[in-house]
Amino acid sequence: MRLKRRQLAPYLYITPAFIYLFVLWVFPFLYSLILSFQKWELASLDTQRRFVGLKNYIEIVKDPEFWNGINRTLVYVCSAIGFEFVMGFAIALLVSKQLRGMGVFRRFILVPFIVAPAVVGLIWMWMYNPELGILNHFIRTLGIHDRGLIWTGDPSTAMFSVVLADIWQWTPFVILLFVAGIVSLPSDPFDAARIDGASRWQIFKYITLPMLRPVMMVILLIRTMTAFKFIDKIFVLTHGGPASTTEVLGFYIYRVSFMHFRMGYGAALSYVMFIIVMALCLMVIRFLRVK
Amino acid sequence: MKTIRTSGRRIRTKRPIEIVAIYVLLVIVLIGVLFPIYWMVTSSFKTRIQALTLPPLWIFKPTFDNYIGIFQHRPFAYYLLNSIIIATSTVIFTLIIGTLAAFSLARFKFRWSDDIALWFLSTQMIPPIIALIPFFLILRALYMLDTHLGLIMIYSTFTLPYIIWMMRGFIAEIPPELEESAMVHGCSRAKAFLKITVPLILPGFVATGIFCMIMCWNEFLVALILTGDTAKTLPVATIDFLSERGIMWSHVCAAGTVMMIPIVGMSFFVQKYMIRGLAYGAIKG
Repeated sequence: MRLKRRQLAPYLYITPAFIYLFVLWVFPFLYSLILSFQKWELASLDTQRRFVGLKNYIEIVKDPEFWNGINRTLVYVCSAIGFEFVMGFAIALLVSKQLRGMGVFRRFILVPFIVAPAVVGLIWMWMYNPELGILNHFIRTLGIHDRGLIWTGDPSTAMFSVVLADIWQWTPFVILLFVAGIVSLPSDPFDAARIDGASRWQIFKYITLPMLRPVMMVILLIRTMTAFKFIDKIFVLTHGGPASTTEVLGFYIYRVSFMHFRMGYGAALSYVMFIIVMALCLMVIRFLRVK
Repeated sequence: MKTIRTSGRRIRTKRPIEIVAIYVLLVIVLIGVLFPIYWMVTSSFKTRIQALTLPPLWIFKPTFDNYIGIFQHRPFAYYLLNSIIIATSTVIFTLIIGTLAAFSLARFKFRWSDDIALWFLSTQMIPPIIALIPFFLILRALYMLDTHLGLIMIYSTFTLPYIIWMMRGFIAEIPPELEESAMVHGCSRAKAFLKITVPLILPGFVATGIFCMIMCWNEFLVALILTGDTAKTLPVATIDFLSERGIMWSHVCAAGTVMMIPIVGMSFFVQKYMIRGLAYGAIKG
């Protein structure tokens, strides 16, 4: 009896969390899968719900707005993450040195990551304001452009504005994860390399980079997942506009499901997005996993 | 800072020019990071006219009118209370069941234990928009749309995987021998965990809680869709200001500042643990 209780204990502790997530996360997930094979449009004349097989998925392939959404998402994700990753790494290499005041620096630099994405949207919207915004004021005073940019209101700069706000919000987080990785590296390989007369560049290329692979993987995974997930900033800054130039896939799904109330089609679209995110994450894991 | 100094890699940068260059760069980065925050906070202490003045007033007499405005002429305090209720309830609930699960995953090796740990985390790979339609339908069926409990239920599914992931890392860092020696002295396993391990992982515990609190506090899309006026949270209420004609920018900035201050204040103390918890597995292996 006593032995049996012992064996059961680990399962017992894990059960509440497991059941909770299973009921409230796996079930909706499967429900959506079923929904993606159905036609169910709450805002049309025909609100009846019925199975239509693969019709939703076929519609996606033919949907030009979907493909545009994919394009914009890739532009958004690649430029934002690319910049955050490179900048974050470079700054982290500097900040991880043992200098005075680095603790204070790290503490303050995390702030943008903590501020709600919706508020980040607000702050930047306020700064982007074409007439009253501070950014255009700087641009005008510095003489870069006599009228300033229209930022989020201009189709040619809207995506750039969204990406800039994203970079501001996420680079600090990337810096701090890199710093955490760099300071926890064991010092022996570095000492050994120095004794053997390796140059700084050689040390960086053959020791620092490979040893940071796990951290790079975590950063890229977290960022890939979050970049597709959060559309808050876009919601606030541009609402997908102007002329749909910032309507990334996530926002398109939101529009289909909760503005046009096409539940079945929205579910199918979100499944396609899920598969894309999964594929990207698997790619990251494949490239950066330590063998 | 201290723990960082004693462990890890020490780089000795000797050349003073290099050090100066690093500091200059850091100051530039810091200005870039903090200026937007500074701009929002100062705008919230300006009068409506001052806030719109260009060139900007760098020195002015601060006014609390905007704060009085949002708290007295709008039900902002009500939404603030909603946010507090929803975030704290979610965190308390998921910290309890999440830490139990994390304890099990960190301390016992049982069949599928690694798979289960990974499964918990992989739920976060799914974009929540997939589950949003079913959430909506479930809550509607239970008559829980626009209720605090409904939102707490949904938010718990977001925070639980992170709590399990982070707490598992923190618990695994404490050698199990400590608990075992207490058990030799007659403690039960649960008591040993509570008496020995919990005090040791307390910083991690608090950091995890605050991280999840931030998640709930900042969440926007789900709250937008699943709440109306009764359970409306701060992000949604703040964005509402934008739909008015003639946006009151100084009010918007005051609302943003109110939202920002508590969580930034809390996270200041636990920043280091938060990052370490998130990077678990990548750093310690």
